[in-house]
Amino acid sequence: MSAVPVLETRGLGIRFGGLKAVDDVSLSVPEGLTLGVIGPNGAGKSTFINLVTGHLKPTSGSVLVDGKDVTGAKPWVIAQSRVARTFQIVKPFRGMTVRENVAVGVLYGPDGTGRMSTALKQADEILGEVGIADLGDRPPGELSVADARRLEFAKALALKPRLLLLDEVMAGLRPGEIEPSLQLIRDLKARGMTIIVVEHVMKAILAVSDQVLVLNAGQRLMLGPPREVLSDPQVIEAYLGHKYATRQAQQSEAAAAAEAAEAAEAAAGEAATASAPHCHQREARNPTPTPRPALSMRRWHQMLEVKNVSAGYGRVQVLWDVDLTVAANEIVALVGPNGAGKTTLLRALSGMVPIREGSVSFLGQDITGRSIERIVDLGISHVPEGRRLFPGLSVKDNLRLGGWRNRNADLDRVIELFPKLGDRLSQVTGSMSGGEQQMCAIARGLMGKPDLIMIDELSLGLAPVVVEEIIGRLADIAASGTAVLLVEQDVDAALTVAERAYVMETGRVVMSGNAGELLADPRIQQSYLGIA
Amino acid sequence: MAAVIPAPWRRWLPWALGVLGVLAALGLQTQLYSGQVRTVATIFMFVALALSWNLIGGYTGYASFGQVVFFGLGGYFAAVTMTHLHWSFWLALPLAGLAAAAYAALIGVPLLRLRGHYFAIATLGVAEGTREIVINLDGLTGGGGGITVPTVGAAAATKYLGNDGFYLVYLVLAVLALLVTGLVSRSKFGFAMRAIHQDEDAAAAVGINTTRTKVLTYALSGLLTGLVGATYAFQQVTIYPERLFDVEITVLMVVMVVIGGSGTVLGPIIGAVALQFLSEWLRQNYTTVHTLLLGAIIIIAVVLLPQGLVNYLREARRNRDYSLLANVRRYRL
Repeated sequence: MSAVPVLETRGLGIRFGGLKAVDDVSLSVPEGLTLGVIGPNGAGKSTFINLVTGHLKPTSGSVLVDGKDVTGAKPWVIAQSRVARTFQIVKPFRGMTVRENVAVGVLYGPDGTGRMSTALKQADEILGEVGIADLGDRPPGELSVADARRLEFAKALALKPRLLLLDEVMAGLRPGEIEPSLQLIRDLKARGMTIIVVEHVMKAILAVSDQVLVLNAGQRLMLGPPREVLSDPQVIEAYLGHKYATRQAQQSEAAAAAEAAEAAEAAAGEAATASAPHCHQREARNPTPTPRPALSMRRWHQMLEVKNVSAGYGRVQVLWDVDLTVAANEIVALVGPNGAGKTTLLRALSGMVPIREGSVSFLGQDITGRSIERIVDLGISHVPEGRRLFPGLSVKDNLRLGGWRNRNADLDRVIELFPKLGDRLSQVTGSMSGGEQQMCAIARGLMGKPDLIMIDELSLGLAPVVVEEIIGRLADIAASGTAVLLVEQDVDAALTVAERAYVMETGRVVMSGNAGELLADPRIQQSYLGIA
Repeated sequence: MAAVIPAPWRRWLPWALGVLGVLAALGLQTQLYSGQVRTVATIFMFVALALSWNLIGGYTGYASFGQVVFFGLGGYFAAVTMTHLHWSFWLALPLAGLAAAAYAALIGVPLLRLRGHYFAIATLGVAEGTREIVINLDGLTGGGGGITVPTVGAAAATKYLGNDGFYLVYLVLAVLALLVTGLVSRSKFGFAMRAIHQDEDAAAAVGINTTRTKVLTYALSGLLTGLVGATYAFQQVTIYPERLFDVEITVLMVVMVVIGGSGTVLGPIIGAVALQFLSEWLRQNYTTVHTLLLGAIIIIAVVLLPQGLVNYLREARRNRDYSLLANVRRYRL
């Protein structure tokens, strides 16, 4: 092993406008290490890879490969210095065979040859290594999702890399397909290759990483051995929200205290005190613990009924057999780790992604396969991830566009919910703060007086205070006659405001029930971080 | 067809077909009368133009909607040097091509940073702008009044080539464009072009210097277009900016490539021959409505075969499905 790290970043950062997508990340990756990189949505993981491989130019800091400064070098220069990458969305060269796809890398890689026959022969060897030797003559468009991922691997290996950066190579794979990919990474690791794995599948991170880097909001949150990192309160907080982490810490303290108390065979009174914070806390979360008696009465009719729904993009199936219901005036939370299929489910419900199997009924009508505008007409409103406002239009115009379903929708009603918008009606939405934009997006969704509003990633990029303020309005929205289906990263916030919740993992609903009970369930943390 | 020929010979098949094609073209010339020679020469001209557009637009995926700028530049380079400097056509021709290539490289460096329709619009703008410059350099180019290449007498360094002469020059240029395309399509460089077409980020990620590849391809494409433009200028004797920088010439190149099959060797040839032949036939038989019919046929062809004839046949053979309806559905999502 050489003393010089294969990859070193010093204060690496990039700004997109006002957003620091990667901020001051310093890191040293010695030869032979497999580094897992994790972090919630928008943490800057892919951006980090793009900075290292030259696909983005850093606005600050530097990148060193083998001690050589390559900051701002073009991607092909980096590739020639034996740094290979895969892309999160596979990028095969269509119109070439699988073999030719790999041959391009051999021709133009660091050991570039001009001989086509040599390149094709080497390509075949590499296809053999990744286990798709028999598919060389096929066009890449015919490959299965798993094989297309392997091709992406093969294209990277064609560069004979010393450092390999894998951007979500497990995404979209079925559980059974993950193991062969892991084995491939282990084999490369055994050959001494240095590997950086960006991955949402925590099981994969745990299986192959020597060290794990956690990014959060573009910054290096932590670096350490996988299990240590994944059970760290700060990491739990990044994934599940601040309050969740705090409660979890208190609970484990309480548990530890209880254990200690038992071990000391203390008096029964002491044990009672030890468990006290636990009870106290549940009360704090729900200041009026009296169950709402009207609820069961109201739920005589399930407004939205999702049955055995499967959906996906192209050949990638994302949702498998999803069941879900929302009753009138109910708030339902949908939580789960990145890539669980939450956004896809909302998109399927609003008709943006075709439903392959199963059915959706709304207010007693079958709406499976209906067009987007028809579904909006029937009373389902979708506030998409990232808000998708019309940034050049004023707040008022944005809101009026939301009134498409009901031209007489009154502005006053939504402004009453979000009074801040009232002061800014003539302001261009693109110039408002993230929180105000989110309010505007939700208000726009409410303009048509929908019976159900689906909000995707309400807190994305917002400060906690703002999130609290907006989440606080959800109960009013539900009370005014619009049920809420909420997809939210901040698990604590979501489960606190919701009555019921569903937990999704790799395209399936794995848990569901009373939101308060789920909040206390350790399996939630496991589904996010792989370990409880 | 290729399947019945033994493998070692298959390599030479395209060459054999090429030689046969050239011999047929030479034989054909002896059988045609003068007007027809001119018509077929125009077909060769468009074969060369379509093949050269195909390099940048088809293989590399950069739709150059201002390709006529190299045609016009080559033409004016030849006309100006032959008129003012009394250069021989045989000297002016290659240098006109090089001038067009140099111009392509010059504008390519900034323009090829743009992608998709931004690139298309920018090249269109450069073509229009260059025409204006040519008009305004009237001391050199004769401005809007045009410039006349001396073809007879002492002032003419090269005597006018006549229909038969230009037939041969265009044939040579078409063969040259075909050779370049054939070699590029099988070479390492061709792989880089196709990779850039499919995904530029992925191409860079496997070590391809995308900027260099794009600029070189654009220069090569400009070179061939410039050679054709120079020949055209000499053939026309008197040239005007409006005619040599006519957007329609670009449009024809694009349509021929698209109909025949972009990113293939044979596609542009088939497209150019079919469209020119059809256009001529319609003009002679349905004089009053010939452009209308031609337009309708182009629309139908593009709707039914959006990927072009050659690509359609290739896919149909692989999928064993020759249905045009299925083809339309596949491409209309």
